[in-house]
Amino acid sequence: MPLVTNTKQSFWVRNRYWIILGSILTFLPPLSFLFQFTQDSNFCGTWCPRMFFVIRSGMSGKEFAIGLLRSYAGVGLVLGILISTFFLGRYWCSHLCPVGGTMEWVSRIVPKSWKINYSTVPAPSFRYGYLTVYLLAPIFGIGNLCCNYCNFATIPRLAGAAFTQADLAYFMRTAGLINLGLVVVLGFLARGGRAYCNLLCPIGALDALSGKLGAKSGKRVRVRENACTGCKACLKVCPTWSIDMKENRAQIDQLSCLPCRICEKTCPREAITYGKAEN
Amino acid sequence: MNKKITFYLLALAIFIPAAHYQWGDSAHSIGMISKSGGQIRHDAFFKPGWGNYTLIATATVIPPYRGDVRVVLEGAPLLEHQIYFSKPALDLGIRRLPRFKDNILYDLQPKDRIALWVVMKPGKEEIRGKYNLVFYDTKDNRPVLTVPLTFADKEEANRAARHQH
Repeated sequence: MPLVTNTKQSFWVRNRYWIILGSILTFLPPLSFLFQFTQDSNFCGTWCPRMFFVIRSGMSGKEFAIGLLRSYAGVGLVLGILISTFFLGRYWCSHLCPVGGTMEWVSRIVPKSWKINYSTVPAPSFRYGYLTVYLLAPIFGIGNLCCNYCNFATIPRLAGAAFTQADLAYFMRTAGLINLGLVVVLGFLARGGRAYCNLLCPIGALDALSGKLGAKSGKRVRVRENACTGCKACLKVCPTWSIDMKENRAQIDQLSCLPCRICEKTCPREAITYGKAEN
Repeated sequence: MNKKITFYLLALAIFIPAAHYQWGDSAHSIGMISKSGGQIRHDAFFKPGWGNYTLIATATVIPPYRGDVRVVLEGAPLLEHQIYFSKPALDLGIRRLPRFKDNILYDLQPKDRIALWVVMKPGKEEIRGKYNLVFYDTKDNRPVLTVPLTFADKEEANRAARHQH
């Protein structure tokens, strides 16, 4: 019988799926609770977390500033995410993001035999290839990935489509259907439900950089090397395939790790812990 | 080649064309509703030949304008269309929202922000040329915002669409 460890008693570990569900109810239709304080019904507009840092060719400083003001709630949200990640790890992505959380929830009810395993893809390389285009293509006037391929537009509208015609209209267009396809293939059908987060989310990509920058000083999921036996139990459950084996010991890539702490819960030797680095 | 570099280049190869190519069946217009006739950031471009078009028209009400506004799609030949108002599925009444019924926005007030989805179905006919989505004040029938919709060929539409979000 497995031991009841501190990890298993942690509020954030025990209640992660309930916290995600709370976030889904807070952010997504039918309640869209937080958005209603700003006359919005979704992440588009005041709460948009993706557009304000995109600089278009020929954009003036004034236009950029107007974009920041227009999305003031989104700016605050992203700054909060990056700062909290630096100190505590990517809790937004693992516990609070309603977009990634929805994909993970749905993936849990998809039969295992339908699941796609993306773990052979080196996620950081692909993710930062995507982010390079996301940031540079508008600057050079090549085009824009911002609104056309947006996870923060697709998931809320998918939730809202059952309730309002306006949200349903989002899917009456090619870009909407492509976004839906991406969410299904990289989210709902992905093993762990987090391939979209790991490969194509610009907020996740920026958040991962903050996570990596604060990895030495902040709290992170870490492996106690002397306790790890190399059983690979953690590898099989990691939704972002961020654990690798080196010299028969588990190693966590802080550029991809979300502190979902499933690995910590799974480890039979309690070799994985969440905390600051030991000196 | 190193696997990491390969996947980085693969991502560039996928997403540069993805960023460049714009689907011709949808567009987004950003506008300002005002007493003086309103203003838009850019025209909305569509490519002819699609069976279904969607425009999302967002706008902010510039003070001191307030009133009721009728939304009309103008142009020839007439285009079958539906206009939907984006609002919370379950309005908790935390903030006042304009009401939308029979293509009329009731009780618009300064600084209100609206989002309308216009779904257009041209039928068998290929649509070309200019249409306008016009917002008329119901009291004096004067336009408070006009959104030009251009159904143009591929190159022109692509060129213009690159400036759109």
